[in-house]
Amino acid sequence: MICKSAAARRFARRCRISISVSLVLFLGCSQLASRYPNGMLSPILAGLAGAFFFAELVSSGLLLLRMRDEFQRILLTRSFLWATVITMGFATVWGFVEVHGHGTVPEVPILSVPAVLIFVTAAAKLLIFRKYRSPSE
Amino acid sequence: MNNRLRVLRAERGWSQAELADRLEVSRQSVNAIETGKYDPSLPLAFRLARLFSMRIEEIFTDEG
Repeated sequence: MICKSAAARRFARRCRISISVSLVLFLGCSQLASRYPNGMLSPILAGLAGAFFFAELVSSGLLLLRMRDEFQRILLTRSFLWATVITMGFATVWGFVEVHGHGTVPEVPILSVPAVLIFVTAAAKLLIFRKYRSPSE
Repeated sequence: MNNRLRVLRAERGWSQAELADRLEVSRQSVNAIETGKYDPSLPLAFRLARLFSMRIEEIFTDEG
């Protein structure tokens, strides 16, 4: 898989850090936001909670730029594209039904979209890399 | 695009992993090129040609 190159190892390390920090920040910010609803603090908390998700996107971009193996870079790009298409497609359809379906689907907070994107990206990566793995790998 | 990579590699007694190491790519990439699932970029094709001391067109041939 892609975990052998130095760029991929750096990416894995950055991901571990950004996911842990974003989880802690997200929970902390949610707690603070529920204590101080509609305050001026909300945009700052929202920015903090979202910052590490953007860090994750940036580190994915850096990985794509620095990967030496062009074939794996293509597979990774394909995974990101599939994940984006699936997540955005799903979010669009769900959102439309939510707005116009008069309660036919439960309301899903928009905050869950980044988490879904991360999950779908991981699944797409697994499937695409498995499709092209070499025999006896 | 067709290629003679598998034959050239076998002539030298290299495994896919060995060729991948020499090219500084993954074994997955070597396998994808050999099976025709992926056509390498020009820089990688040049690296292959240099490694086998051949011209690119002696390794890769156009299907048409």
